[in-house]
Amino acid sequence: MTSLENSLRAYAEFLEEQSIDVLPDHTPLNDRLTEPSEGDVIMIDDLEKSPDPNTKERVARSGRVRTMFAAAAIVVVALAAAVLLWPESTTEVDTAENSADLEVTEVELPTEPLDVVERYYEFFAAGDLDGLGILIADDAQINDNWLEYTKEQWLRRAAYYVGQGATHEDRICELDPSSGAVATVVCSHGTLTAAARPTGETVPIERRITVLDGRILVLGEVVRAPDWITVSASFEQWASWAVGEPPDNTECCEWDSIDDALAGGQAIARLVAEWESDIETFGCELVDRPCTAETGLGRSFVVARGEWDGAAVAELIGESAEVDELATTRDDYLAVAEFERAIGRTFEIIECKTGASTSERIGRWCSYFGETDWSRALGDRPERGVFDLVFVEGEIVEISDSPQLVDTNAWTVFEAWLRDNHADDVATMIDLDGSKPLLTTESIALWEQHTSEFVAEVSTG
Amino acid sequence: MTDTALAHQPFATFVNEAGPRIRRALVAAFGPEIGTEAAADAMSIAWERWDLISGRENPAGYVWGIGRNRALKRMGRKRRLFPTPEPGREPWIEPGLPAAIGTLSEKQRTAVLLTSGYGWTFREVAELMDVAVSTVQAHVERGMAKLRNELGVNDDES
Repeated sequence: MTSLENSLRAYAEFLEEQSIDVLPDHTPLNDRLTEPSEGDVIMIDDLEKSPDPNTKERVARSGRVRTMFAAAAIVVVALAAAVLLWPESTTEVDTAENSADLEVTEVELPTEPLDVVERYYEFFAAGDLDGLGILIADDAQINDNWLEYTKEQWLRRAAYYVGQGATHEDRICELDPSSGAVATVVCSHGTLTAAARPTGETVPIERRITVLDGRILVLGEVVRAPDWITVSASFEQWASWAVGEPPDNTECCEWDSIDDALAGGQAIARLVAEWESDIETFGCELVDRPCTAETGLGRSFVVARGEWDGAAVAELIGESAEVDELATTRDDYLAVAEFERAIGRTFEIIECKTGASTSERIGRWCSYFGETDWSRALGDRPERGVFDLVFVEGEIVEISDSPQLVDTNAWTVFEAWLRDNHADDVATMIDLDGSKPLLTTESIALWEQHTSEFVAEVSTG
Repeated sequence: MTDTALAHQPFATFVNEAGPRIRRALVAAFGPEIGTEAAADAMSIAWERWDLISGRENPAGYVWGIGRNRALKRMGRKRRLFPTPEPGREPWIEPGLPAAIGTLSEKQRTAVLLTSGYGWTFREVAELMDVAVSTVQAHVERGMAKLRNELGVNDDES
């Protein structure tokens, strides 16, 4: 073994000592859960409510695993305490005697039309499809903008929405004063489906519901946004990437049963949860399509450019990446950052979306609005540009920028001003064919100095 | 246990099996401070979303990816990732090694420290990072060559 390898092994031991207190690998998790040590302090202010996937209890979340373990310990202790302290009758619900006590008694249904409709929405919110079935008359007439439904079909449609956890937002129901002997209730609300949850975008609905003898006889639904898509485009594109095909958003009639429709809605909900998880994990925005690790890294690239953090930019790039912009190699980005700082170049990211990709090479187009001190002084609008990035195994291996800085109006004006006012510096600042700024220490100082002069001159007319 | 075999395991098993590996991989890439914090973040997210993550083909790789993403965000302008051990420490560590490690790319740092430092096989690194074994080998070879060059170490020294 070489001395270098010996040093690496010793240094790895040193790194292990530096980090081992945070995530001890020699202590079984169960010990930590049942016997939290004195050092496990929870910062209550750091806790966020989030569902535990196994227990459905609320558990703590913090930035440190030590805290996470301690939080988990609290959940375990709390669960244990709950079991021990729970009233005896509750813990014995499975006994025959107690089962008799808990037998479902027939629920008294309202007869007032408005109350019937309220109950309908309550049953929907509770996921009580049987309840909905009781409220709707067997021969009810049901329709929306496009279709007529049998009761069974309508219940399948409801099951699909119940399964995905859809909600009715801002609902208002009122008795139609113009209705005659048979009362009609008019309801308006926004339906929020699972896929629309991240955006909060609801589809506006109006329903006219006729009630007689406590049963819904007629339910007419009008969708006020008939071109609204059931599943958001962003989610659909992510789902196409994640599962190979868009999710089945059949609402009613192709489901074989209410159970099938319910399962279909639940499948949508699971996919949406995974999508939301990826958005947070990879740092995407909803406009990004699809949200993957590469999308998040593409955003990081543009953000680091905007922060003039050349080292952070270089971290994202492979050693032998092909670069076609201000930089030509990864190592140029420290100088590029200094140059862009000198000219006040900023990037406001618009979106990152799928670029040309193969199974090995993942393309992302990250578009932005770019400005410089020159363009701001000239009053030019921010110019839209696109970084075309190609990733292989999580690293950027190709970068191009379009349009390039030298193709912008601000560059043209500034370059002409420079040649008129500082002709002797041009050879230091711009390459021979005028296609690129030179990025030496000397030239960057000149870029900064002359940019300030240019801005001052333009600003004073 | 392989990463694939960790799928659908209880979270406690995952923490015991994969947690230290994920943390070491992140420390190798981003240093002990950012690496351990990022590992903690990643495991915290994994705990919350275990029902989703446990079904993935490579849960450890997925959680490592979360940690890497978090570490890149945490780095900001912090550039001195690898601390220098105190002088006179045993066993001896080449004094210029931390700075030299800092000159490697993230992938090279990870591959070199995990294989030569922690003793992982190329395959173990490849499984966690979800890359080809040959890719890991290339990162190690380039990284070691760069380290030797930076430190002026003779390749044949033994």
